[in-house]
Formats: sequence, C-alpha cells, structure tokens
Amino acid sequence: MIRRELIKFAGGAATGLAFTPLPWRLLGDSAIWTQNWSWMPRTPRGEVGEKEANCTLCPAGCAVKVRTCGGTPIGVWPRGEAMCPAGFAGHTLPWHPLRLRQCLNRGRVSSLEEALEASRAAAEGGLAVLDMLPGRTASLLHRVHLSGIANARYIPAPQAEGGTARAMARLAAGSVQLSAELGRAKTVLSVSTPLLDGWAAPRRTAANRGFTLWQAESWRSRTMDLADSRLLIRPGSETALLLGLARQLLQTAGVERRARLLQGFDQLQAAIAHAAPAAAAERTGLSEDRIAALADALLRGQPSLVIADGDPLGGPLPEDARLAAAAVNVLLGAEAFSTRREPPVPKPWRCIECTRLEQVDNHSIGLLIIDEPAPGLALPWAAIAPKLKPEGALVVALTWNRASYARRADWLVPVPVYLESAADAPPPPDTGSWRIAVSPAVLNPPEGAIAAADFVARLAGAEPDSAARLEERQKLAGEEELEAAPAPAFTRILPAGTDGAQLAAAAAANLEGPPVAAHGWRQASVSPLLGKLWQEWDLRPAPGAVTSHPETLRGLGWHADSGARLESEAGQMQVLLEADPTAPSGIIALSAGPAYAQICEAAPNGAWRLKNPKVVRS
Amino acid sequence: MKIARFLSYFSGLAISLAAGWTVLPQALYKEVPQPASFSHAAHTGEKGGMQCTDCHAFRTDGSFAGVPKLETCAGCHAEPVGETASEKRFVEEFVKKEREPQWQIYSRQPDNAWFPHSVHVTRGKLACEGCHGSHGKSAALPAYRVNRITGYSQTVMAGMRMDDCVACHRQRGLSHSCLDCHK
Repeated sequence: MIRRELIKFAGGAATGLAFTPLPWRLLGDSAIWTQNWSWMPRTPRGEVGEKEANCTLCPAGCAVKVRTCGGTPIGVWPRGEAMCPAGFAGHTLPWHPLRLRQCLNRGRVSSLEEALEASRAAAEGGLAVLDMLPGRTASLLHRVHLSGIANARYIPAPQAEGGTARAMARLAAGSVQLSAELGRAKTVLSVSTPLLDGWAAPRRTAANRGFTLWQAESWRSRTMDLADSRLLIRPGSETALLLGLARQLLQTAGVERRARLLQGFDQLQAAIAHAAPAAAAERTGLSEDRIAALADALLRGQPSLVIADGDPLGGPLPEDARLAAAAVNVLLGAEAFSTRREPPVPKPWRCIECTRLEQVDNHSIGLLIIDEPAPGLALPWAAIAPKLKPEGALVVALTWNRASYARRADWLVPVPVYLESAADAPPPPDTGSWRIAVSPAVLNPPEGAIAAADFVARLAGAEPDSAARLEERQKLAGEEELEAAPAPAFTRILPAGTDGAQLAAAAAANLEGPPVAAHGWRQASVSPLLGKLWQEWDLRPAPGAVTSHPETLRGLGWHADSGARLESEAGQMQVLLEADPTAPSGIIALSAGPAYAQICEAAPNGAWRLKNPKVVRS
Repeated sequence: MKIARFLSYFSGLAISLAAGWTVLPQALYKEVPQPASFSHAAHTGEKGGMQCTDCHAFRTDGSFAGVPKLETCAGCHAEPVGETASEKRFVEEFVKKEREPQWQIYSRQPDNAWFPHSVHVTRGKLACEGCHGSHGKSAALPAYRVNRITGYSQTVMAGMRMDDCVACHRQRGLSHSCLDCHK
C-alpha cells in the first residue's frame, strides 16, 4: 500500500467516524470523567442525618439544620424562617479553594509548635491581638488570656456596620452599646449604606422589612434599586446632606426647642450655619425641595432612623458623616434605637480592656496576632502597618484562608471554620434583642488547625479550652433571647470636643482623587460557587469590576472593556473596566472584594481611600 | 476506474462506520460481576409476593435506604429457604460470615446530583418501573457494565442521565433549574 492510499484510507476512516456516535460519546464521557478525578472532594456514602445548628456567618445567627451524609455536611436549610444565599452555601466553606490547611512560615510548610515558639519570642516586644470579628465568645477569651500576659492589648477591628449606632452611643447618658432597631422603624434614611444588600443581618433585613426606605447614594446600588425613594447625591456629599437635613429639622419648632437643651447644640449650629439650603442642595446635587421633603417624611414617619455606616467591604463613611447622622437621629427623637443587653460573662473570667486601633501608638507592637475567623472581613493593611515595630515585628495571622493577610503575615496558622468547631455569632448591629447563637462542630478541622482563642491561651501558658468555655457561657446565658432595653436619654447632640467649624469644613471639602464608590457583599466570599452563579446570571458584578459612564472613563483616560491594574500607594488589584451609559456620570462604581481593602489607606476620619490611584492597562 | 481510485477511502469509511457503531461502543464498557446472583422475580412473583418497598424501604426520616443491607436479607435467609445453589452460596458466603455484599449499583448517580426518592415516589406518584424498567421482575441480575471512562453503569448512561431528568420535568411542567438537583 502506497502512502497516498494510506492517506485516503485515513481520510475515509476519519469521515466515517464523524458519522458514528463514538467521537461525540467520547467528548461527553471525557467531560464526566473530569468530574471524578481522585483529588476532587467526594461526599462519603453513608447514613443521612440532620443536626440543628445556628449559622454564624453573619450576626443574624439564623437557626438552621445541617443535613449530613456519612457525617459530612451536604446541605444547610433554615429552621422556620428564611435564610440568605450565603447560608445555603455555608457548608462548602471548609472546602474553599483558598482554605488554609497547614501552618505556613513565609510560604514554607511549618508546624504549630514552631509558630508558637516564634510568637513567644516576639511577644516580649509587646503583644496585640487584632480581632477582625469582635463580640464573639472567642473575643472575650482573647481578653481573658491576654490578662495573663504583660504589655498585651486587645484591639477590636473597626467595623463599618453599626458605625452610626456607635456614634449615637457617644451622645447617650452613660456607657452603653446601642443598636439601630430596623424592626421598630417606620422610616429609614440610609446614606451610602447597603441596607438591603448584605448589611448586618441580610436575611432579617430582607424578610422583616416594614419600613419606608429613602436611599441616598452616589451610584445606583442594589439597595438604591429596591428603595422606596432614591436620592442620587454627589460623591462625598453625605455630610453636607445630613447637615442640610439637620438644618431643615431645626426649622421645625418642636425640634429646635428640644435641641436647644442638649449639649453640643452650639457646635451643631456652627456646622449648619454654612449648610444653607442652597449650599446643601448645590453640594449634594439635590433640590432644596427634595431635602425639605426628606425632612418632612422623617418627621411624619416616626419612629425614623438615619443610618450612615458605609459599606462593609468598600469602607466606612467618614467620622464626620456618622456624627452628622447621629445628630439628625437625636433631632428625630432617636426612638428606633435601643440598648443592647450583653449576655452574662462567667465571673471568674477576667478580661483586659479593649484598645481602639487609633489609640495604639505607632511602632509599639512586637507581635501582632490577627484573628480572621470568617470570610469577608477586611481592614486596610495601611492602618495596621504603622503600629508595628520597624524592626523585628512578627505578624501571625490565625486565619481560614491563604489570601487576605498571606502576603503580610510572617506566619499563617489555620483555624477551624464554620461547622468545624463550636463557635458563636457576634451581636447584631440591627437589633438590641439577641441570644448567643452557636454552631456546633459537625466536621473535623484540618490537622494542625487550632482555634484562635486556644492559640492565645497557649501563648499565655493557659489551658486551651475554648469549646468548654463557650459551653459554660452558653449555659449561663440560657437559650432565651435577651430583650433589648430602651435607649437611655440623649444628653448631647454632638460628642464633646467636636468642632462645628471643622464639621462644616469637612462637609464642604472636595473629594480627593477620582470619586470611587466601592461596594461589596461580605457573604460572597463564603463560596466561590455563589460568586460564579451570581456573575453568570448577571446578578452581581465580579470583584474587581469597575463600572462607570463612558464619559467619566474617557475623562480619566481609562479604556472601557479592558483588563487593567488599579494601583495605589498601598498596592494593586486586577480590575475590569466596563462602560455603562445608564450609570450616573462622574462616579466610578468598584465591586470590591477583600483585596480592595489591601490597596486602601485609612484616612484620619476613619474612611478608606485610595492614595494616588491610577489604572494601568494589563 | 474512478471507484477503484477511491477504494482505500471507502474501505476506511466502511471500517470506521462499522467500528464506530458496533465494536467501539461495546469496548467502552467492561463487565463487573455482582458479588452474588439474585432473582427479583423469585421475590416479587407469586411465590415471593413481595413489593419493591419491602426491601428498598424509606427510612423514618423519609430518605431512601437504597439496596438493602445484609441484615434485611438475613431476616428471611438466616438459613436457605429454597433449593437453589446460588441461595445456599449466598447464605454460606455472606449471611453466616456476616460479610456485607458489595453490590454494584446500576442506578448510581454522580455525587453532585441530588435525587430524593421520597419526593418522586410519594409526591410525584412515580412507579418504580418508570425509571428502573422491568428490573424488579428480572429472574437474574443483568450484567453490570461500567463505562471505562466515566465509571458509571450502562443503565445510567442509557436512561438516567440529566437530559432524561430534565425531559421528564419539562413534560410535567416542573421546575428544572440547576439548583433543583445540584444542591
């Protein structure tokens, strides 16, 4: 047979094969084969069972039942009420692709004992625990164990959620923990806060919404789409809007009479003296009538509530906006705020005081332990780094993942995640009524993982007993929900030391750099499957998606529909620029994941900002 | 002759068509023996008088128990009740030695497919035969033929694929989005 005949034969065979089921069958079978590779996690065959638990992925602490097969969780369902999508995917967190499963020292596989040894040596230079999710029993245990270590500090990471309530607490008589009671409010003004999009306890806010929502924001967010009234304001004009609103409210006789009796009234007067209706309207881009209508709606729809927290992943609003929101709440009577009762703490537990991050001196920490127990928690590294000693400081991240602090920490130590150890949810910022919601251990954590509180206990030379201590506290607190107490009297309208002129100046100041509206959904990090579904169905933009009006992009010299790097002085992240002709002009909406925080710096007013940002085509 | 010039081409075409339609699809599967022979007909026929659910039962929580465990078989077959050699062997090899037979499951589905029997049988009122055909009346277990690439049985590949689920849901006007079955 000559070569030509062979080629003809092969050609005939190839043509014939195309008309048989074989190639198409092989394609399909090969696709199925890829689903069964040996290294892919498999659900064990076995007894199907159910366990009652609470979802501790957010402060709502929803009651859930965990369905197991052969002891492995295969699904989570709500017990009774509704549940958010992240709750349904929560059981996949232990298999997250970014999951940290072993101790790493600068990328090198190491052991827990080595991490402890290095930590003990570095602790002599001053130890601090930075708690990324304060308010849990583990947070209390950090404080208990740190009381046995000299020169140790416990630092709760500042949270965007609850920022307005914390500002309100500074105006109340006595030291209290306040909560904004969304369930009690009839009218809510949300200022640049994703109230209906993952803020605080997503399920509760969505399921029990019984209020009229006014949403003031500089871009068309999902909350804006779902709001009853929309106020599209200029970027960075939140404080101006709130001061203009305060001025409108003070023009109402009853309100002004009450406000005059409160401390800080003069400072508020000084601040709003510059907030003439025309000036506030010009700064915000709203008409004077619209601001007046807003004030009228808040006064008529009592109890009303103003929330200006900011975005959990995009960063909190500046302190001046939160102060102004607190002042407006006091002018409105603050009826929708309540005092949160704390569950009892066992008497022998001796805790050290909390230290706010801004109170920590620069260059004073020799060993920083970062407790990052759950996905979606973010704090700019630029806010932490100056606190470390310039030489010899050690950073240990007790973390669930290999992403957030992997580049910053010297040691990465794995901790158990949801359903791998008994843990409780932090207190919710959207209600004063709560109970300790505990998720039990259904799965074994990876070998080498240690509960963060147990790591600190071992550092302090104490017994690692976090599970037993949680049980002890749970027994003491009981299963009954702690009812919220009424809020105390508000004796101030602005905190002591507030300078009205400075507040007015902050309201009038122009935004530095391009107007970026960073937004994110904390729970999206729970499962990559969720992100994939949402993005494929166009429900949510992928982290790093930048959307803006074509004119705005052109003005900045940025090219649409192209991959790029967003660079700032603190770092860089990959972004995808998209032009949207329906987007409001002059604003850049950035879908932020936890990576966004790492390229931001924390401004003195508490907000996050990009320093000298630029986009480089990649 | 023009045809003679293309003889090689047509030979290749014919051989590959024949192989593609007959030989290779068969070669794609290999037979795996079941641990013991079993006659559904002997159990469900007039002599046995049993129903499918007598052995393939639902648990108290509504979940489906699947192929019965050895203890279910041992309930009747602690000693041979018939005359067949296969029953005697089963009793000697498995029941008396308390060795669980590792049955090959004809209808095994991928782990990522969630199929609740109870919903289909109790609420959907589907008969077992609707999906499993005449399996319950067979006198002997059919050969268990497993796909060498996918690892699933020929039974599944022939009539229990995702397309079949979707077609049935479509036909009955039921929802058939991804998350209905892939939890």
